[in-house]
Amino acid sequence: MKRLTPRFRRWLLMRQRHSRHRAEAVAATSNVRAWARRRASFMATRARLPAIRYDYVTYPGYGAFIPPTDLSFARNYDETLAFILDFRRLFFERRLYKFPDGERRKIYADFARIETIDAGAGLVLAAEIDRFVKSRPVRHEVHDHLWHEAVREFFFEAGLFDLLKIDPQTVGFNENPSSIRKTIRLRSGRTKSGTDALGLRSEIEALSGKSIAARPHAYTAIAEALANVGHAYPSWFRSWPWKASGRWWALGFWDQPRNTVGLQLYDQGAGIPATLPKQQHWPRLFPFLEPERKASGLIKAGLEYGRTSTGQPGRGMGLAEMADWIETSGSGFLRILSGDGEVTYRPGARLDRRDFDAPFCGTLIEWEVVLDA
Amino acid sequence: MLHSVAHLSSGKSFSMPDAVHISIARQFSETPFGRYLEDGKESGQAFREKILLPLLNEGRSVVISLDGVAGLPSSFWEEALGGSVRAGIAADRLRELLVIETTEADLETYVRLGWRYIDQAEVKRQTNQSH
Repeated sequence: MKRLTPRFRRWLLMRQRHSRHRAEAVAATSNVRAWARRRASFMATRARLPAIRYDYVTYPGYGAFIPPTDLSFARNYDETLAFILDFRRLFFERRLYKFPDGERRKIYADFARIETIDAGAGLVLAAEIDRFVKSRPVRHEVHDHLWHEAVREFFFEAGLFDLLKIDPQTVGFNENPSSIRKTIRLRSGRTKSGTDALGLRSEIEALSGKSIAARPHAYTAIAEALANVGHAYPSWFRSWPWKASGRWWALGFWDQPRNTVGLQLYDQGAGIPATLPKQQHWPRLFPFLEPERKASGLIKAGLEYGRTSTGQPGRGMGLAEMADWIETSGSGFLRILSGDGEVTYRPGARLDRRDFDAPFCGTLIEWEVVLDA
Repeated sequence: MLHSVAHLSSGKSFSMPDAVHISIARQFSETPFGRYLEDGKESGQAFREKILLPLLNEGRSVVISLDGVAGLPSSFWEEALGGSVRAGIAADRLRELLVIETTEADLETYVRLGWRYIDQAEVKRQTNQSH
């Protein structure tokens, strides 16, 4: 063995350092390529949606990207998703944006253009704001005095002003909102326990002052949906620009005039149509699959397999268990928007389906139930 | 009341005086959640491996009480009971040793579902063996 002289020791350390640097350089190149591929995939999805709309006239030096007046995946899928993806990309990249007139300006989202915001789209927007604010923990500027009352009240009740570190007093917010729809505060987590499901049910019951279902049905529906978030972020899944977080976000509402409660659960994962074929029970879904294998068909197959596997009316497994709350209450709907497809379930196992050109950014599950008078 | 529900749940017409009583809500969790251990410590696999199987493997009779749980997600309940069959305890043996009971009307459906999961797992086990 060669003697470890001081010179030989220095040489060994240098060689170790060089080989580490080489490995880091290779990894960095590979990371850059992977990053570029994920960005290209994101931009390809965005290209299938309506073009971005700007306003760079109203405030000199600034340019706005404009949301649809009706922010709703149910009524206005393409424009709503386009705005959400723009929000994600433009605020992440955070550079001066080059507008069609060739000038570069600071960019902002013109929330004053939103007239109506439905619960599902509100939750997805809230999740985007949550991730953006947590990645940029500084004070953000919000001109909420220009917003429509319903949008401002949604932000207030969902706790988004707190997320943005905005004191509603300083922006002239009315402390006695007159809205007919009350919203619970945004909740988020990486569930490994049923207490989150119980907490969500309890919060909506506290808001409405009523029981929202026979005790086990709402709990099992929510718990099964939260447990599915575990499958939503498989190890192979990568996202852009944010890394896969493993998180879920939830909101709920109580609409007194309609005597209706709603609960929305969202994750930014790979989506049910992508993850279902990799699950253990996939071969048992074959009898329910259609030859064309559309995304909505995959979700529908998951629901139908779950419904038939127990052989008991009103009792399902997995996805179908989420529908049991609707089935037993005899009213409302369950809507699952995931990947390129959407399935809406109504009592009596009535299903409506839609497929889209551009895939949704994760999975959004919405329940709406009309309560007993 | 308990005896009548126990009768419904196991098909037995006699009580089980030496049975070990397990209340899921009191001894495990009021909010059972998830299928596998990776889903958390309130999962069906955790219940089966930590509580149910050690007793069944000793040949002890077990009475599972569902009272007090917020609900029993199918992933939890199937893994706890169907998983016991997959772990090597035949459905017939489970019928000898196990009683599932509840005094709450809302939870009675889970008694029937539990036995259904056991029967389905048994059918699948026998199908796999014959192949």
